[in-house]
Amino acid sequence: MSKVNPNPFINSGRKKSWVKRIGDKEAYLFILPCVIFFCFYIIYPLYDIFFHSFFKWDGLSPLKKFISFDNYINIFLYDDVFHIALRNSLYWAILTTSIQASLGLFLALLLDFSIRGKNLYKSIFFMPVPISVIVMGYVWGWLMYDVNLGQVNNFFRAIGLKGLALIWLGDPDIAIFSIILVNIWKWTGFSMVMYMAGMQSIPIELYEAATIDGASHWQRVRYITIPLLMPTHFTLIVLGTIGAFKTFDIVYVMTKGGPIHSSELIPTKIYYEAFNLFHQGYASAIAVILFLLALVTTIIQISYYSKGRKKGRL
Amino acid sequence: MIKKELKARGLPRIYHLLIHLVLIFFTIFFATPLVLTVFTSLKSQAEVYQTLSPIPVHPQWGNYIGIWQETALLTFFRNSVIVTLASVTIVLFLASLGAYAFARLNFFGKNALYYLVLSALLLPIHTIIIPLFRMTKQLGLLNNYLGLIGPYSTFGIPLILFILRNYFETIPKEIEDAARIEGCSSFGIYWRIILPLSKPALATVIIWQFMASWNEFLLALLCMTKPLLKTLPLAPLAFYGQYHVIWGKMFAALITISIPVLIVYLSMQKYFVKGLTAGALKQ
Repeated sequence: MSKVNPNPFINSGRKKSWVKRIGDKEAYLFILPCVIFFCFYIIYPLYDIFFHSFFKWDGLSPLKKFISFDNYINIFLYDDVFHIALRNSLYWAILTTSIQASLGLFLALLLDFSIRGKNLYKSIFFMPVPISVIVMGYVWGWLMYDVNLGQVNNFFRAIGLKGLALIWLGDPDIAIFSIILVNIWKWTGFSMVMYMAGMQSIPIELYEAATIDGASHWQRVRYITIPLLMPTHFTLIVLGTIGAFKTFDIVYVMTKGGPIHSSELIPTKIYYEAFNLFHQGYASAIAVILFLLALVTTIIQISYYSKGRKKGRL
Repeated sequence: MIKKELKARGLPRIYHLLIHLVLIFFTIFFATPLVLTVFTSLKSQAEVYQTLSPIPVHPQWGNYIGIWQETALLTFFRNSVIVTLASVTIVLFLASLGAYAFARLNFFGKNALYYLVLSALLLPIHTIIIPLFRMTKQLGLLNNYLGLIGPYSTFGIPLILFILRNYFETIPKEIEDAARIEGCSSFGIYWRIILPLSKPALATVIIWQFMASWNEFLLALLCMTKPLLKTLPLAPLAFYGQYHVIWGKMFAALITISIPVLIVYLSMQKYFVKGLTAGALKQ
């Protein structure tokens, strides 16, 4: 019984506010396990990369040389591969957010009609999502993109467009785009399902009112569905952008960042520096930059979104 | 249902046909790689190189039997099951406890802490992979299940906390108040009332954590170097060494390792986005 919150209107004076701020003592027991794990596996490692980003260190020997900002200077001024990785992240963010989200929305709108086989279509489009990226990397790399035996080139040869039978993963100019296509293929089903769920939350009365006013189907989509799906658009844009900073597996499996580092993303670059070259101080500095990039991008997106919401634009 | 009827109203037959055509086009786009995988997994070595036709003429069902005898597939499976089940159980317990406190109890710095934990959702784990690997090594947990279980559970906390907190807040408070008057403690309420009422959200959380742990690659790649301790996402790399020119068996193996995720997904499909959208609705 003692655990019942005291009625705040009965208690008064200073003591009340102090007690209120401390709150329920048992709450701390509830959050403690979470906090311990979180500090140990996330907060401490973050501190660690900040610390080591100022050192020249191979990660193994006890010898650490303090070099202040040299790692950062080298990354920004002299590391061409880092610049490629940065550029690729930009391609990744723009292409996946735009294509994947709009394709997902398009499919969700089509499946919103009462048509036969709806669930079957939905399941097929979603099928690539749960399957491991590693598996997908091999499937695309060997069966689709292989220069001689791959079905993409087979298809182009069969329809007489031999010029389009390219070296999809071996050409430095297009390797990253080939990988981005696989990523879009894998995640469009997810965008679609998110949009379908978002549509469920739009009040039916709006459509009824619009229909009574004589709005066509396209007008209802244009002026009701698409604007009211704003939270979903926003979620998908944030997730897509973060994806550009989070992707490792698929690049590692398909090209290992090659040929000649042309398809490198920041995580693959970190892996390469830290675990192939053992430049762990240098790699830590890149990790710090990645962390700040992800943080700043998301903060900008969120503040833009909430500002827009307040003004009623979004 | 009304919504559906409303939208279908006045839609001529010809449009249905058009919609189906578009959908079939996308079906081909999405299904081709998967269908090809199944076809290739049934081919013999000669067939892969001699015929360009994707459909196997003499299906080699033996490919699916051979992989179990020739590779450590069973061991990979066992390792993945252990790591995944352990991390799902741990994170479910940790995060649901935390989510209950965030949803219902008052404590100092509640919102600041909540947003701090939530911001980790946006943290690419690759930023901290270097220290994580070193910590695992120093703790002597390389080639040990615990070396993966700890980090996997922790990475799951932010999303699960978010989903569960939102869900817990939708449960009417009156139920709890009644229990409190009967003398039930906070833990009792969490354990006997909140958790049993949150089954749909728990299902969402289980499926997300299952997929994340089952498919995690980088940390497993770094921490599990002994062949007998590797998890399934590493299996393709191992098979690549063994089967790198034997396509049929390689793809039979890839399909086999994908089946558990597909089963989990199909059996819990309806919960997949439910919990997420419960959160989105709130905004």
